[in-house]
Amino acid sequence: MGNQLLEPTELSLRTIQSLQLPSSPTLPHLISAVERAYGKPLEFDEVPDEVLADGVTGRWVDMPDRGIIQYRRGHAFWCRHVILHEFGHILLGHKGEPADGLQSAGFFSGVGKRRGISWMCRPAAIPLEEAEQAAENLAYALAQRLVTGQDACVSDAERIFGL
Amino acid sequence: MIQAAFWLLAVVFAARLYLVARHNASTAFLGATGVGVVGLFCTGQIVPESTLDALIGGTNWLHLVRNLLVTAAVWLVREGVFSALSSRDEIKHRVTHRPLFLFALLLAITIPFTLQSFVPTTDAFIPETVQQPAVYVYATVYMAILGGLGLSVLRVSIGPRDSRTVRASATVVGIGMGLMVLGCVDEIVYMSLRFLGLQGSLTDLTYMLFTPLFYSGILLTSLGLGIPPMVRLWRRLALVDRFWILVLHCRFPAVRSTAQASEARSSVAADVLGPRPAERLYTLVITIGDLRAAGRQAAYSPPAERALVLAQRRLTNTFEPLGLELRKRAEI
Repeated sequence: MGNQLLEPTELSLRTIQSLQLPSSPTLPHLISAVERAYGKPLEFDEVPDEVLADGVTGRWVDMPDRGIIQYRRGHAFWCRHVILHEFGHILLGHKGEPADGLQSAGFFSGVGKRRGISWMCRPAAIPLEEAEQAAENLAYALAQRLVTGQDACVSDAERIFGL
Repeated sequence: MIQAAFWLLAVVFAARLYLVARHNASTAFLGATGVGVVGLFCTGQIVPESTLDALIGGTNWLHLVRNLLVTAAVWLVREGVFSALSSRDEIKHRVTHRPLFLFALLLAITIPFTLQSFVPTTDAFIPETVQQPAVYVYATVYMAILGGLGLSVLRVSIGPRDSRTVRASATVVGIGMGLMVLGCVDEIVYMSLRFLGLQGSLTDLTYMLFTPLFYSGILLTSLGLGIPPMVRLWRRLALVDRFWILVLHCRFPAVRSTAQASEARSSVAADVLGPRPAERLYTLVITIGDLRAAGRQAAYSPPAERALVLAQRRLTNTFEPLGLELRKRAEI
């Protein structure tokens, strides 16, 4: 496998634009923007490996009054990406129906919707369905804003000086 | 030192020409470096002064041409620095930022020059002719104008900036201008002593100090203007990111699922040498994390673990600990 770069889709770019992030956003900026779009506060929970099904790296649990993002223990950098992926599901409005669809496709052991609570997971080593692909694409696009695209943000002063 | 300043400025000019053509960078800095290169070319260090001056009459008109070019170059540097570091309104309402003002400055230098009794080309034009009032006024006005322009750049350049590169570039340009101002003051003192017919150790000292002060100022200004293009090139090459991509591929061969060794090699080469290396490094780090979560690489060897940590640090050196960041919210 080569190191395939994910090109941000039109949907990902539009979604990020709608967040109205500052030019050099931080993770707290992004959390605030996602909570605003979501309409509920978010809680984050690092969980041991056995809590999540094999191959699942994180999940978003949509509760009536809040959202919980659980992520597998790992390097902070990788955990951050898992969280961005779950943000992708939230921002793309995947709660409910896409989860049911994916459950019927049999990709996840713990995906579903019950008593008003739905959840979605990020798989590590299985083919990505449409919703997963969209969330992953948005996660990479968000990472580009948070991490790898920082150098590309050039102020007027920097442009004039020739940066 | 003059030759070093010339070649450095020529390289900076070429880099800036590219930046203006490709990335809409400041044309003021391009103009400044271009005019500065021609100005330094006229110093006689690259082609003998007598050869160049002979082309325009052989009576030291080259001295005037060089000084007009240097004045224009410093004015353009000032324009660039002000447009980057001051508010647009501040620039718009100041007469000193209009091209007509530059024209007036050039005229103020030129008029006294034309009133002198001309002598044949000489490498020591000022020491030999400064007793003439016209030459004294010409050279003093030139030095005063240059010193004034340099001082205004110095005042704007030094100070805190959001961008480290802009701060470094502006600071080095400011220090260069500061040295140039000292050179101008030194030269005015020297010319005044000579004009008054005073000889002595102070005259010798001021004569000796001019070149190191003035041209080291020009050299530093050239260097300062060259910092942003150098930083841009460094970022574009992204050698550190490419290095970590190579290291991670070597330490985590499981990220390449291809069976053929030759294909694996070419995929590594494509990754190391490909465009957008920072994004490639990010993707690689995430893929390695996914491998562990998928149980395909349960434990990393200590060197691999260390390489992964360092590669992540390369991407996240400005981040706070994740637990802390997740508890924070920021105004948007």
